[in-house]
Amino acid sequence: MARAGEGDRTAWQALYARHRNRVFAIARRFLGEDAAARDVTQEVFISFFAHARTYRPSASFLAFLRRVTVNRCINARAEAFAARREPGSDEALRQVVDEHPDPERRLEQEQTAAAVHAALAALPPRQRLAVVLSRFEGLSYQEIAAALDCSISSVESLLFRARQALARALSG
Amino acid sequence: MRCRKARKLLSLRMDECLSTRHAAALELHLAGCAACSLAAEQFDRAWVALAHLAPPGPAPDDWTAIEAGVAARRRPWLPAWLDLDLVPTRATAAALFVGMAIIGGAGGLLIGRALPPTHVEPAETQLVAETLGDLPWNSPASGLEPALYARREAHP
Repeated sequence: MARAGEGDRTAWQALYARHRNRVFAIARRFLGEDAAARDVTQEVFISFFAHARTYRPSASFLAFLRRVTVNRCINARAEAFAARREPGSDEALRQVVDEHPDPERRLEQEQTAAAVHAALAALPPRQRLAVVLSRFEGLSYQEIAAALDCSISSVESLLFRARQALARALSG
Repeated sequence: MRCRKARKLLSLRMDECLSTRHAAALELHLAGCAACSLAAEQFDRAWVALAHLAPPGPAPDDWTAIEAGVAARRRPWLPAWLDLDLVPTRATAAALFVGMAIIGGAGGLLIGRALPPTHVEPAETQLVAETLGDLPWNSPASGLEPALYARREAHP
């Protein structure tokens, strides 16, 4: 990190190689679209490297990176919403886990995945981020609170409401 | 325990963040509440169903685009050799401050030497003189005037 702060390109490249998959995974799960997630990943690293000299670590670098990613994701979604573009519904269907070659089973699985994707996409942004960070990134309440810049009780509430909405959507 | 409270605790239990006391109270509630038991099942099922989403693939390597993006973020109106990243900002600011302090101090000294010294009467003398000036000519206090001038000569 110290070398990255001094503008060492090799250190930048090493940081990028080490963390890009994690940033991309959060953005991809939140935005539901590869192209948008790729844009967010680039934007996160560009803004970090452009201001690396002024970076003062107050928590772990990973926590900082998560927080920047979360903010960029929310911005990207707001921009997509402003442009009236609903990201990723077709792509999500194409990316269903294809474990069963049996056509009937595969169709059933595709339908389930589509329903899950739709339920997740229908959640408000902060609830969706809380689900992504908890369910897929395996973060604790404290880490999620740091990423979303809110209290632990807010995280509890976000996850509770998200679970209620998901259960309602998927049990109907 | 009310059902709403029980459902909040269900969410906490799924994240293994429930105290033993609350867990016991929740179990007791679930044993007697069919609606909350159903909600618990639905919560679990929905959470498990999220696994049906395909895991995101590896991030594409966009290092070249990122380098170009970082270069574009730099101030385009600065010539390349004066890239601000190469200038240690704090050291430059400190040097500027010290330089300005030296120039200001030296200038003050030179101006102080160039101007003739001004004689300032002590405050007491000025006050008495002003008071006497306001008094009528034959006032008893005006008798102090010679003493005042004598003092002024003794302490120029």
